Order: sequence, then C-alpha cells, then structure tokens
Amino acid sequence: MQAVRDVSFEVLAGEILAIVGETGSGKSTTATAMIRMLPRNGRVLSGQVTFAGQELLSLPNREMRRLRGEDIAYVPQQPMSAFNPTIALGKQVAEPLVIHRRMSYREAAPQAAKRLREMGIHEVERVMRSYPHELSGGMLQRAMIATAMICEPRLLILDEPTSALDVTIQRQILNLIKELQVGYRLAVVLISHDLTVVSQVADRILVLYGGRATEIGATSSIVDGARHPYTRGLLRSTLTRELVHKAKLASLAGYPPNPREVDRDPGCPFMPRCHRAIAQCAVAFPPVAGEPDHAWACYNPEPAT
Amino acid sequence: MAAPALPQDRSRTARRSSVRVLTLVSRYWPALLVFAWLVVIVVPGVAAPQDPLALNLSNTLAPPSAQHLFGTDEAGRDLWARCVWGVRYSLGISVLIVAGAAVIGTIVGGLAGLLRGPIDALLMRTTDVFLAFPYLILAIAIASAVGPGLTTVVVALTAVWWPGYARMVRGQVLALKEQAFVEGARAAGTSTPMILYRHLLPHLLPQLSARVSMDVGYAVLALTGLSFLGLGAQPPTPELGAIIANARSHLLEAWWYTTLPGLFVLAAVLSSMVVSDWLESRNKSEFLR
Amino acid sequence: MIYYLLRRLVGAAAVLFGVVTGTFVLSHVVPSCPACAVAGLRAGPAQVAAAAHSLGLDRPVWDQYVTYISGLIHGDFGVSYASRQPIGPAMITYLPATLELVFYSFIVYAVLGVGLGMVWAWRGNRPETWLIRVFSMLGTAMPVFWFAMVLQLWLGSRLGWFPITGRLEVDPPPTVTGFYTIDALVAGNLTAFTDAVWHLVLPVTALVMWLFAVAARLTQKSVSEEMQMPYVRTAIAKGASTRRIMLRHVFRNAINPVITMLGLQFGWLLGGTVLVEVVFSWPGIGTYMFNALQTFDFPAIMAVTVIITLGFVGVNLVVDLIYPLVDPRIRVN
Repeated sequence: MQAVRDVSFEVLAGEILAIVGETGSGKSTTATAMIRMLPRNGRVLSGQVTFAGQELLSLPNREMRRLRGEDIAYVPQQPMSAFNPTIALGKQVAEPLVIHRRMSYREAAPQAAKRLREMGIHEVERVMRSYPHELSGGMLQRAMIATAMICEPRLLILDEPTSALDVTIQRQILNLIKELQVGYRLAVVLISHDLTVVSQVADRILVLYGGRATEIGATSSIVDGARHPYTRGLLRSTLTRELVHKAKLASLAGYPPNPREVDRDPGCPFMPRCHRAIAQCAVAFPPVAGEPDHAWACYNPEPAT
Repeated sequence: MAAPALPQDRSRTARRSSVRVLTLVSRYWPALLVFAWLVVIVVPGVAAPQDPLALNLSNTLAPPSAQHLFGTDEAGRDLWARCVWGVRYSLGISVLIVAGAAVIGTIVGGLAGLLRGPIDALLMRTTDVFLAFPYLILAIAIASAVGPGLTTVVVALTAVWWPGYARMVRGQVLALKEQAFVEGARAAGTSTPMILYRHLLPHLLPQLSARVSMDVGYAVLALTGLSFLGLGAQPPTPELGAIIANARSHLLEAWWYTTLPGLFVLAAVLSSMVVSDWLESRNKSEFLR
Repeated sequence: MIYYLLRRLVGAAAVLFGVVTGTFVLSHVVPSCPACAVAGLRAGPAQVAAAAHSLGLDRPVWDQYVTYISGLIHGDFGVSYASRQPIGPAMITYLPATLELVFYSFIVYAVLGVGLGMVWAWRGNRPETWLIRVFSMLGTAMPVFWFAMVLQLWLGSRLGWFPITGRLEVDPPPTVTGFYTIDALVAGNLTAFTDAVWHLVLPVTALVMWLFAVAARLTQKSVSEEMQMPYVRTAIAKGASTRRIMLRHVFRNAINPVITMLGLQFGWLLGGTVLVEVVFSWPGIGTYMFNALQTFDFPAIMAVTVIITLGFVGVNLVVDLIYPLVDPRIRVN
C-alpha cells in the first residue's frame, strides 16, 4: 500500500515550508521518509532526497545517522511522550552533543542550558534536573526544539509542533520557530493539519490529500487565491475574523479517504468530496498546472480571485 | 468510481474443497493436537497395545526393539506402554488440577473484585502469601504432611495454583465492573454471583482458557517433579515422574529408561504451550475485530 | 520513599509469619503419628506416650506453637524425628553447597536469559533468533530433573566430559565462605578450583536451561514493547546508534518487569534446586529434604521449608529495594 505518491518539493535555507494535510494524507510519512525514519514496514519505492547536494536515500546508514541530529533535526509529535520518562531532561537535551561531538554530559550541560534559555525557558537549572512528567507541554516542546537546535542544524523538521498545545502557547512556539529561522537561516519544514496556524509563519505551503500533492505555492498565493477545491475548502472552514456573527460554518462534506481505497482507485482522491468534480477526475490523477510560484493538480480548479 | 475486484479475494479462489480443508487445518491445527491427546488419554490402547503392568522377568532392561519401542524396565514391562499410560495420568491429573484451580480462583477472585471491602483485602492478603511461596516447596510441604499419593498431590497443587487465577480474575473483574452493562445488571437486581456468572464470565473466558492451557503444561511438570520425589503416584502406577525416578537406579546401563519417558513429558508440555499460544493469538485477533 | 520500604518490610514479615504458622499447622494436622514413628514399630502404648512426651507433643497446641516460634527466632529448628539430633546444626552443614549452586545458577541464567532476550528483541523474529526461540521453548517444557539425568548420562557417563555426582573429588580447601570455588581461589588451590567448577557445570546447566527461557521470553517481550515507545524515535532522530538506544534508553526502562520476574523466578530456582540436588547427589539442603521425605521426618521438612521461604522472601525484598533505584517514576511516588 502506497501512502505517498509523486510528491515533490524543495526547501531553501532561510525559508519555512509548511506541509498541510489531514490525518492519512501522508504528510508525516513524507517527512519521515525524507530522513529515512520510516517504520520497519515502510520503504521508499522511488524518488530522491537531496540535501545540500548529497543524495540521502543511497547513503550508508552510518552517514545518515551522522546527519541526523547534527545537520538535519527532526522534532517529533507530542513532546510529552517523545522524551524518555526515566532520564532527566538536561541529559536528553544534551544528548545530540554527546553523540555527535563526543562530549561528556558534564561538558555538554552548559550548552544545553544556554539553548534552553534561548528557547524561552526560565529556571533552567531546575528544568534540566526535572523529569518529563514534571513539566508542562509548552515547556517540553521548547525543550524538544532546544534539543533539535543544539548542534545548529541546517534543516529543521517539525512534526505537528503545536497540535498538543493550547492556543496561547501555540502562538509562542510559532514565533519561536520564526525567530530561529531568521536567526540561524534555517530551512524549516513544518508539518501540520491546521492551515490557518501555519499560514502565520510559513513562506510556502504544500497541501497534501490522500497521499498526493494537490497544491503548492507561496503562502500569500495560497491564502488569497487557492485554486484547488480542497485548499479552498480548508480555508473556508476555519474561523476567521471576517466571518459574520452566527453565519453557518462552511465545512468540507464527507470524510478523509481510506488510504487503501485511494491506493486502488486511479483518479483524484478528493473527487468524492469535491463539488467541482467532473468525469475526468475519476480516470486519472490530474497533471500539475500553474504559475511560477503556485501550482495545483486539478482538472477543474477554482477560478482565480 | 468503479473499484476493480481484488485478486486476493480468498473465498472465491478456495473453491476446491481440498484447498479449503488445508486452510482449515493450517489455521486450526492446535485443535487437532488437543484431539490427539484426548484420544491418548481416553483410549490409551490405541497408541499402546502392550500392557503397562505386564511383568516379564525374562526380559528386563532390554533396549528398544521392534517389539518394545522404548525397551523394557527392570520388571520387564514395556516402557512405551508405561509411558503412554503415564502421560495419560499426567495430563489427566494436570487438567483436573488446573481446572479446579481455575474454578476456585475465578470464584474467589471474581467475588473479591465485585464485593471489594474487607473480604477483598483478606482474600488478597491470603493470595499474596500463597503466591510468595516457591510452589514446589509448598506442594512438598503439604504432600509430605498429608501422605503421598495422587490425591494428595492433586490437592496440594490445586491449593498452590488457585491464587494465581484469583489474582488474574480479580484484576479483570475490577476493570470490567466499571462498564455500563454491570451497572445495568445491578440496577435490574441481579445478585452478585449471578453477575459474575452470567455477565462477566464470557469476558473472562478467553484469557482464562489461554492461561489454563498454558498451566496444564506447567502442572504436568510440577506433578512429575513431585512424583519423582516419591510424593505422587505410588508403584506400580505408571506415572512419568515415578518412572524416571525408577530409572535413576539404572541410569548407566539403560539409557532408554531415563531418556525416553522424559520426551513424553516434553511432548505433552510443548503441546500445551502451543495450544495456549494459539488461543492467545486468537484472542488478540478477535479483539482487533 | 521510607513509607514504601516499610510497607515492603511489613509485607515480607507477614509472609514469613504466614509460612511459619502454616508449616506448624500442617505438621500438627498430620493424621499420622510421629511419636509412633519415633518410638518404633514394636512400641506399646506406654512407649509411644513416653516418646510423645519427650517430643513435647502432649503439651497444649498453643504452647507448642509458642515454643516453635520462639525457637525459630533463636535459630532453633527443633529436633529431627529420624536422627534425634537438632536440625539447625545439621542444616547448616548442608547449606553452603546449596548456596553455591543457587548462586552460580542464578547469575548464569539471569545474564543468559536477559542477554538473549535483548538480542531476541533487537533482532526480531528473524532466522537468527530461531535458535533462541526454539531452545527457549524446549527449555521451559522440559522437566528439570529429567534433563539433569540426561546430562548426567550423556555428558557425564557416556562422553565422560563432566563428573556425575557430588561437589568435589579432591580434598576440599579450608573453609572461608563455604563456596568451594571461592575458598579454593583464596587458598590458591587451582586443582580444587577446577575440580569444583567441573562439578558445578552439569547441575548449573540443568537449572539454567530450564529457567533461562522464561527470563528470555519476558525480557524480549518487555524490550520489544519498550522499543515501540515514542522516545525511541526521538533518539533515532538525534542520530543515536542502535546500540546506544538499546543500552541507554530501552533497557533502562524495560528492566523493571524483568527484575520482578527474576525475583519471582528465584522461587522456581529453589524448587528446581531440590530436584537437581537429588539427581547429582549434591550435598545441599535439597538432598537433606529428600532424605527427610523418605523418612517422613516432619520437623526437618518444615525446617527446610522455612529456610527456603526465608531465602525467597529475602531475595524479593532486595528486588523491591532495588526498584526505586532503577526507575525514577517509582521514586517520586
């Protein structure tokens, strides 16, 4: 069963690319496949992943391990469970240094402390000695980002960094990510299911549906003029200030697709829910069309605004 | 959107009955194993035509031959027959022990879980004490106090085994009783034992059966161990542990006497483990459904 | 934390007390007549009564119970029906042999079981682990005394690789610990040392083979489950090697149930030791108990039961004490 099909994109240093999609859209799979962290039963069938001129998929394991944590950092979902519950936080934050720079925990501790402070954590000493279950979600997310940043990577991948947090903390974390991007000229891949959240910080957005890339473009192009019906639907169904009081909330009809069904059917996976579907949509996945910095895959796209 | 028919649709390709039988066998073969053992227990004559008690002092300690598959023991008795009869005892008694322990344990554990309060606390303390014991030592202590014999061993091992079940059932009951259907039953005025029997038991059975089949194997090992020490079956009853104990005196001359009966025990215990694993995997897949 | 320790201590004491009382009850519920056995087959009622009196059996039950308990506290295990000698000193002579056997068996099977279990979990159910799985299954399914005899016969007698019975053939080294292996090393006596080790091989193998399977299986299960935890992904994302992840992360967390199990298995080990000692004529308390069984010497049997329970309870207490050291989650509670 193929979870992701024909998805291509690039990320440049100093820019944030957001990959947006529902559960099952293949966004996490894409990200983990990029750094060869697919689960045991997952495989990359075809394609390339190029990082700073290096082809990652054919790299020997040891080289890949060296890149991970040092040049490419991955921040997993749900910081509350992503830390080891039996090891003090300070050690875990310092671990990449121990692995890649051959430092001892003692030597690495000051740097870990510095990073934690940088991420906006106060009382760093106490936090470093604490265990994960003693800290809040927001703090853990910051600690996780600190861990990712400790070796000053060039690419940062964040998997749903705000989903487990409440709204006020979400804002803070997003701002933090933005600061890092600017301060370190990071290339950032931000994975989320929430288009509105990412549109606040992302430079470009890639929308996935049913394992396929449906639309990609600069944030402004997407937010102001999305052409794919799915993206439009996503934008319309979110709460924004422009909504009239007591107006009916637009929503996308239907349910996200079953990955197995999508695998079988040849056409566009969004067709069952699309109000602009035409006969052609069932036959084959639409080819990519578009402008220089905005592309979509649809036979019958929404008109330009 | 028309979906093409999946080629892996099993019920259509397995049209031929031979293929269907094969699939049944490969999926349910542990049941066949149980059946085979049942045959051995109920009709041992099928597996062993020789008489396990027939003395033949002219042919003592003979090595395996076409006539005596496992050779003979010090009284000229056919070892194969003795083993078959012995395994019959071992398995039969073990099933009895484990079934008894399971029943007692379920009742005690179930009631403890449902009633809670001081009864629960008392029961749990008692089971704690029992569970803390090395079971073999406890069984030895009981059996030595009451006198050797198969009945004693049954009582001793059942006494040692039931706390484990009580614990397990209690845990499950505690989890189950929070569910709505128990509340409903209580509201309808069902008595506690009835709740246990009618409503909770079906949920307990899958785990219980997996554990029971596993424990049968362990009971066989415990039983043979006790018989080996002289506490279980008394001569001339052919019980595998006792047979092996007899073999000790002839260890160096009659290798078949020592080595072969143990294989029977091994076979019986392995079967129980296989059945138990199979039941467990079925339990898990049922759950996923 | 102190609270936790206290609760464990009280629990252990309760178990011990329960066992002691239980053995007392058992030995007095016995339908047979120990006084008769002591007095002899041809004794008349007067001699039986005299024997009963000398054994203290005509005193009220409660009285006997109190004497029993206070005796135990002072290390007095009563008098053997068979030998008429105090049991305590007799047992002491047998104890070191059992301790040595148990000690080495425990270490070997714990290391082997946990190690193989980790390898099994690490490598998954692939061809390489087939051997582990098969031996695992066979090991649990065998009667330990039978396997001991098989080893004795084939490796000891037929192949002549190892001695068949006993602890030592040469003269024993001067006693320091009671362990022939250690005492021999201390005395610089290499012949005795090798001899002692050689005698240990078969009994230890029998016990280990029987027990390691459970340890391996549980370790494998625990480690496999732990490997599914999210923090493993985090570690991979940091670029940690599999070795580092297994040793520094997974194992630390998976060790808890393994430690509990090792403690509980100690009980099995003790039971199995009785059987193995009998097979190898190993001069330990297992053999002592076996002899007592032959002669229906209840005080001796009960004494061994109490001692073994003491050992078991003690080991599990140690396990309970180790817990908080290993798992900080328990520490906080």
